[in-house]
Amino acid sequence: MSSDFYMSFENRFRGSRELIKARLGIYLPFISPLKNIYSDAQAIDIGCGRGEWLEILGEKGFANQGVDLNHEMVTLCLGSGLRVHEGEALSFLKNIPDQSQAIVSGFHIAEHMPFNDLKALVEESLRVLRPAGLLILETPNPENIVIATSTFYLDPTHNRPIPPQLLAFTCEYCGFKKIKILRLQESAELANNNKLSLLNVIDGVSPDYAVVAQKSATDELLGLFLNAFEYEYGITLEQLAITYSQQVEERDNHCLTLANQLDSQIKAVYNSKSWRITSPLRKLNDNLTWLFNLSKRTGYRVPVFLDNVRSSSKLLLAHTVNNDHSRLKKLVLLILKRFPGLKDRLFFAVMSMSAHSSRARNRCVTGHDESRFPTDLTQIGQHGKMIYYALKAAIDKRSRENH
Amino acid sequence: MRIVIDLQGAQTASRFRGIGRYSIAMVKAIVKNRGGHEILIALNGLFPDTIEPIRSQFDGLLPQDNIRVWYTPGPVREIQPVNTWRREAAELIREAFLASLQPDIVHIISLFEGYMDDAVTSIGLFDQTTPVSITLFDLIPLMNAGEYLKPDPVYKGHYFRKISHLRRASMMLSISEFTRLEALENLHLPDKSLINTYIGIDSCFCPLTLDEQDIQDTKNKLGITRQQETGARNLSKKPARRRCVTGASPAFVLYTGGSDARKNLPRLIRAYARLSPNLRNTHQLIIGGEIPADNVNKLWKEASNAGLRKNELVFTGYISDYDLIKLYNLCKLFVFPSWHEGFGLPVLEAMSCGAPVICSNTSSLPEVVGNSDALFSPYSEESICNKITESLTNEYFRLSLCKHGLEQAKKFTWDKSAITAISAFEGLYARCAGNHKRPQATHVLIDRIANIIPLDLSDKSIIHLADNIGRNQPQTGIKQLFLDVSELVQRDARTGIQRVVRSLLKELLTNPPDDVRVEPVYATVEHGYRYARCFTSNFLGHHNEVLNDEPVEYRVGDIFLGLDLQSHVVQAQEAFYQRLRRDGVHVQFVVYDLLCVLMPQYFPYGAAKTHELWLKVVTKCDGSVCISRAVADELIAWVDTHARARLRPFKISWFHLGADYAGSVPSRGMPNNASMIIMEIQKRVTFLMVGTIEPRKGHTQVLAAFEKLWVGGLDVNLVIVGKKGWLVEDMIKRLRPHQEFNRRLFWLEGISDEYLENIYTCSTCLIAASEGEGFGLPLIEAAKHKLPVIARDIPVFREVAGEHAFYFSGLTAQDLADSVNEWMVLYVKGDAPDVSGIPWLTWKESAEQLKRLINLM
Repeated sequence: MSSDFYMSFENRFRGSRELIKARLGIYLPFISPLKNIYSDAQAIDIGCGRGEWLEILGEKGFANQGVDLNHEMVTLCLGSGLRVHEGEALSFLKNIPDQSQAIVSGFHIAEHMPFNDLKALVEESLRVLRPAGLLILETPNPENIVIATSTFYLDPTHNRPIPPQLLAFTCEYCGFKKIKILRLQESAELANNNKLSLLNVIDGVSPDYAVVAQKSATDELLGLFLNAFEYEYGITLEQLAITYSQQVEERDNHCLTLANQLDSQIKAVYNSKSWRITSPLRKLNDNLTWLFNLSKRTGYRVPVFLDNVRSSSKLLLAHTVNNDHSRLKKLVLLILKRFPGLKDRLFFAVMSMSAHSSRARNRCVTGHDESRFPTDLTQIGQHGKMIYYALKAAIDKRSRENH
Repeated sequence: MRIVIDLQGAQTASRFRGIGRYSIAMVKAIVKNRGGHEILIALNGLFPDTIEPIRSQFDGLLPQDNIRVWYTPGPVREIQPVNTWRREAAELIREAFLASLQPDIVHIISLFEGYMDDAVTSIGLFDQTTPVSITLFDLIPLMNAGEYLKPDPVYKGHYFRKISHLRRASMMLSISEFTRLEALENLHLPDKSLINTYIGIDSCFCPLTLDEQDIQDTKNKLGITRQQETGARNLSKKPARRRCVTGASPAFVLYTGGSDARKNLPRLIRAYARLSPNLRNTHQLIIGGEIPADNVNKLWKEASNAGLRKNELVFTGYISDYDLIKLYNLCKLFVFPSWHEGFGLPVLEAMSCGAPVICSNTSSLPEVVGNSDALFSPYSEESICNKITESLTNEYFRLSLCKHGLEQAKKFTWDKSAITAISAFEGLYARCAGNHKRPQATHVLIDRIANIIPLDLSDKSIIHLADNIGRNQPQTGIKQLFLDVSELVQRDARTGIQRVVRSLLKELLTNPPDDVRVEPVYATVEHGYRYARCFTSNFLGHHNEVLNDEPVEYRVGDIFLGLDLQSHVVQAQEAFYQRLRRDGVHVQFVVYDLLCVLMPQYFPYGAAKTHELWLKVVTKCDGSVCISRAVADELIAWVDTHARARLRPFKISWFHLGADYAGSVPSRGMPNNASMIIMEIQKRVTFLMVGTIEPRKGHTQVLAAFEKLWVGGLDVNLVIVGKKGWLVEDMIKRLRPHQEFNRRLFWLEGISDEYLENIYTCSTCLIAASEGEGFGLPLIEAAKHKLPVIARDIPVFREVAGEHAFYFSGLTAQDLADSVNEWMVLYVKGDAPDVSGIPWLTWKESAEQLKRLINLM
């Protein structure tokens, strides 16, 4: 390999190396206790690729070595000062002494192997591991429908997808004491998404998974790993599908409630006295509108008095309410008393018409200036936002309880 | 003990009435007599226009931080049933806010509020722990339900809801013994929960000495004149315009107050009609105060039926306080026939003014007037008539009423009432001691509100509601100092002001004042103030991709300092500054200069106008920090003539700017011809001018003076450093083709700080010819380079350089040429003023000065 290629190779993948190292960070809670148990802990990475995992192991104080079939990868690792052998995994493992390793790992190798070789690899790993030692095998997750049906086969050297249960059972069958499935690399936003789409269900399940298998040891030693083994990692297809259907159902219910509310409101309006009483007025309005439109279309001139009907009735209303001596006012108020809803609306209409009259100001001392109210969340402070979310949650809870 | 006083009674329409007067006077007296107790005043944000007047009332008596404003979405007035959910939410929000102030006692001045306007009062709906006391003015609607409650069922519902809150009060302060007993009897309350504090009287109600002209003017103004008798008159006809009688008008009997039924005015009129013709001929009955037209008509009818003549009765309409006091002083008798009062303030006001007072023998009036001889039965026309006759005919009796009244009035003072109230609070506190403080229960509040609001409430309304509740949250963390850097955030134009802003910002961010978090903020004309998080992290050299520029959240006691000069933004945000002030944030601006206002001829058209508009907004806030004493003096003069309509004083202070380059970041770079020019400069004595070329800097005068000097044979250089400014086309036209250009006359345009440093080093003297400056940094720069200074004799240069510069005055070329010659003589002899004595500050020291001012805010 030319040194130019080597440089560009390294530069090209530097970012992605960092990313991979960050992703591998998820295993740290598993491996850290091992270093506490065995100060001279050793680790082997099979199919070590560009050696990101080896670097992490080194940083954490594990004596480490890797093995890879790919000549360029091996050269690259050696160049970074890593201890890496070129060769085949199984025969390499066979030369490792019993009970000498704390960790054996293989990232994205299982899906390249025939099943019998995989089984042999698990058996060899168990042999070389010390008590409480860990076997980590990471591979694409066929629970993700897009992976299982399509993306897995993008790599022609892939053998067959391995369901998590199969890989877990293989380790258990070969004699590992504790088994943990970690689902990995799903989008962080998915967990809090309250508007899941169907596509999310199809392609959102954790795209990779790992089986972490632990060799038996005293309870005291195994106890050190309790936290790491108890935590649940990733998103399963089942979880995603259930959440999705719940959300769809909620939205349906919300729409249904709204529809029912509107239905009953409109019925109430039609049945209300004021609607029936004002029916002649509305008819008059319809007729007037028809007349005005007609005049626009045909050029027929509407008598001036009709033109003034609407504006003068508004003025009359304002005058009625604002004039304290008016007998008309008493009469109107007497009638309105029987229709509180209508009274309210008229009250507002008049208030807004006479907002500039000093009489109205004296009557109501107020400072509502709607134009300065916030219209969206970006316009209010952190406290306000927190309270907004809490309010929304409380309102949601209440409407759920109402059903 | 911490007492939180709900002062909405001084915010609603009640503020125009007795309750408003009581609210302010009583709470002021409580504050004055508070001793070791802590008083907080809570105000309703739905009455924004009332907050500044209340703050000004307490300015100097109570720290402004003790006045707290709470917010809730309006309208909430109960007269409109659509407001119901907002009112119910508001009651919880208000109680939660008051509880968050951790009071030992809450006192509500006026509980019966919120029907016609957006006041919110309730007891025990959210906070059931804190003892609440109220002031009880009267139970008049309850005791006279037929008149006050029956006609209006909505009001009745409102009133009884308030009564149910009243029943949950732990203590009531009544304004008279009568009201105390009435409440005890009718509400069946425990005796110790009611305490009579009485009320006080403002000292402006006192006997006055009025001259004849004054008396006549007042009477004419209020229509108290007697018509000429022109024979019988039909009272039902509208009277012709009254003709005034000149000379002394007859004496009058006065009533002031409202016209509700309980005021008993028809009976007063009928009783008056029964007076002997002689008394009626020599006395008028004056009904003072605003009375609805309906009632006036009714009373005229009553008068007509009783046989009272038109010229015997006068309704004055609305009377100002000042005229009211005069009327009390002028009346021959004050009569108050009301049969039901909570206290009867007009009686006390009249007595304080030395008026003889007679009144009913019912309700609180006997204890207020304190004289059984002055009483009559309000239910008997005869009794009223007899008492009036006795008072008007028996001068000895009338004078004894005056004398007694003045003595009696002394018993009622606000201090006395306040001291009684405070000891009542202490008693209540002792009874309720052991009640542990409430937890901060915002989530409880939110759950309760979520159960009140309509389920179909729009998202916008929920945001508005959340915003209001958010504003009420208690202060967390330390006090914030908002530094407005609106201009710097948008562009760094590298002007002198921006250099100052950057330097001070850096100092304040790295060394903030004690117990203060410095928060750069910015706004635009369109959007409100936000935290300048992105700008600040870049400014401090961090690269931030996490922090967003959130809207600012402020609390009482925070400080806003307008550091940048961004006129349009400041004008657009005027309402926001007032909101900050209402909410107890102290708002000040740095004022760099008033030059374009004071010498508009030297600035582009419109600059003066813009700056004046900016100053108007600034001087409506709390104060200004000027960059020199000279600017402060100019601002004081400007405020005196332009910004007088203020309720609280405008604080003007000053500090000095820093002058070390280390504090700001110097620019670098030398042009190719730099070394050649420096060589030329070193050949001769060199005079240096530094600063933008603009009319007020005096370049024209200096150039003309040097032309004279060169002609006169003085072989010296003139170096002008500075960018071309405005209105200097003529000057520039003379400069470039000048025969001395680049020989003995140099113009270095827009040079780096590094280059300027070199020029300073090799020059001989600085000429500061400016006619006006905010600070005068070039003088200090000269001092640092030990470069002697010839400066124009203006206050700011005297302030900066003191005796360490050579001053010139006069605006002609010859004036300056003479001064330069004079200076040259001194310089050659070694007697030129020693510039090294000019004191100057580093930016760190300048920021320290500013911090001291901030700590005083």
